[in-house]
Amino acid sequence: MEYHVAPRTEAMEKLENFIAVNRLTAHTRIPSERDLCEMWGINRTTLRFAVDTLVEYGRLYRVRGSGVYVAESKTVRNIVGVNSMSMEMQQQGIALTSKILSMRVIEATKQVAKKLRTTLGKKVYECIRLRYINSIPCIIETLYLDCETCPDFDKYYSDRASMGYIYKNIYHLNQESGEENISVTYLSAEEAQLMDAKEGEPAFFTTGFTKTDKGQILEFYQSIFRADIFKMVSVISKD
Amino acid sequence: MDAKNKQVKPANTVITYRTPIYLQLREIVRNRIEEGEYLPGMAIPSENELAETFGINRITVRNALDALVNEGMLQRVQGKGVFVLGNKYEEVLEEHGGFVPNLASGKATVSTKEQVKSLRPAGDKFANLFDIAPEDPIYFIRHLNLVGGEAASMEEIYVPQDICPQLDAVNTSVFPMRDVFAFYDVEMCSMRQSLEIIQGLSKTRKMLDVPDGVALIMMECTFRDKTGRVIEFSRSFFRGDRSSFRITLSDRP
Repeated sequence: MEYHVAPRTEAMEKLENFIAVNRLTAHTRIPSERDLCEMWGINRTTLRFAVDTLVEYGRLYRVRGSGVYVAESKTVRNIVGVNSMSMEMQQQGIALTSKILSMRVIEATKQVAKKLRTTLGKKVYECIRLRYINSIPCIIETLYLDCETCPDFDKYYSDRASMGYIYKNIYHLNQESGEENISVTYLSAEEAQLMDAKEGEPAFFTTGFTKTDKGQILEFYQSIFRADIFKMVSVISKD
Repeated sequence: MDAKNKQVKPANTVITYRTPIYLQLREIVRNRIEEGEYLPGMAIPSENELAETFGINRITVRNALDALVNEGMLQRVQGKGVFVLGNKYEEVLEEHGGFVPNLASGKATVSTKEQVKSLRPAGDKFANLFDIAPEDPIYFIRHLNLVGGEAASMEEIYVPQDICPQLDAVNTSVFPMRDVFAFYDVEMCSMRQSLEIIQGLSKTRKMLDVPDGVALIMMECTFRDKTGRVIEFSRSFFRGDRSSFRITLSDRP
């Protein structure tokens, strides 16, 4: 077995460690290439590779003519339970707000009917909202609910209402379990415009459903998350 | 004692020159496993090699190993050989949740290639992460995962040598790290996973043969033991056009 670390890898890890150990906060400029090369006794090419890699991984960013800065950490979307997003954001001290883009009753398409375990053409609410993190538009969420499960939903729902609150206090339903699927999509012109991003940018595409404690399907959703703002996180432990 | 009983209580079998050859070989292999000559996660010599070594028929070797496979001491892995198994966890951490990659749509076969397995000094970053000295050795393993023969993801795994010194002998392309840890009684108690979408380095993109315009999903996992010590860190890159992840949501306590 070989016993060494490639100089480029070593330089990248040193740089990562330097940021962590010195607790460099977002938008702090890191020392110049020359200083870092001198400090670690490495050449410019090696250091540049290290910087490039960390820029690629989103840990650093470059400002032309000025230097290299520590990037802002992505917002953690901690996926712990069925109704955790607003609560989770609150705990992190992040303001999550919403704006309804569209709210209507549609006849269930094949896909929606299947997900909500209902029949084709059944009346369902389709609610599309744009969500903001600290005033930055970064999530487009489409929600489907069976009109029979949640009658008059459009009357109760507003920009400020929490879905968890509505389910619990108006319909007396407890969300208990669910499943979510996460993949990559690319923003359409319309989505990009809504989220103030570039068309074609990659983004998280999530679809999922939640069930009540009685095993009834409650909602089916599809969301798009800006990938430059979010990272998806799951923390589990045995105890 | 009939043949059935012998299988159940092999330890009591007294081996003499009159014992059938296949039973003699079975006890040799069993002893070598118990003595630690063949370690969990390791391939034992092939059936052909064993046949040659002992000057016996391959069918006899196969018979000898069958019982050990049935007992759960050995596992046959298609195209790779016969491997020694160790302890299993009663409870797998992943059953509690976490991101599960949806591999292979349909019948495509999934396989793993161990591209790199080496020891290296931890260096500053991993010394801090694993709470060891920078000069302490850690394993670095790189896997390429293929779906239907095509590259789908690449995984880089880091494990301090003192956590699992036997990793040297283990074929990590056959057993996931969680199995390897179970073999050697290293307990995984918690896990943190994160998913990010990135463009990726050109080196990584080339390795995964990613078409232009397709993004990568970077998954980082940190595993800890009971005491909270980090025992494994991994960073994987998945082709965005071939991968998705599933996660179970639960509000039950």
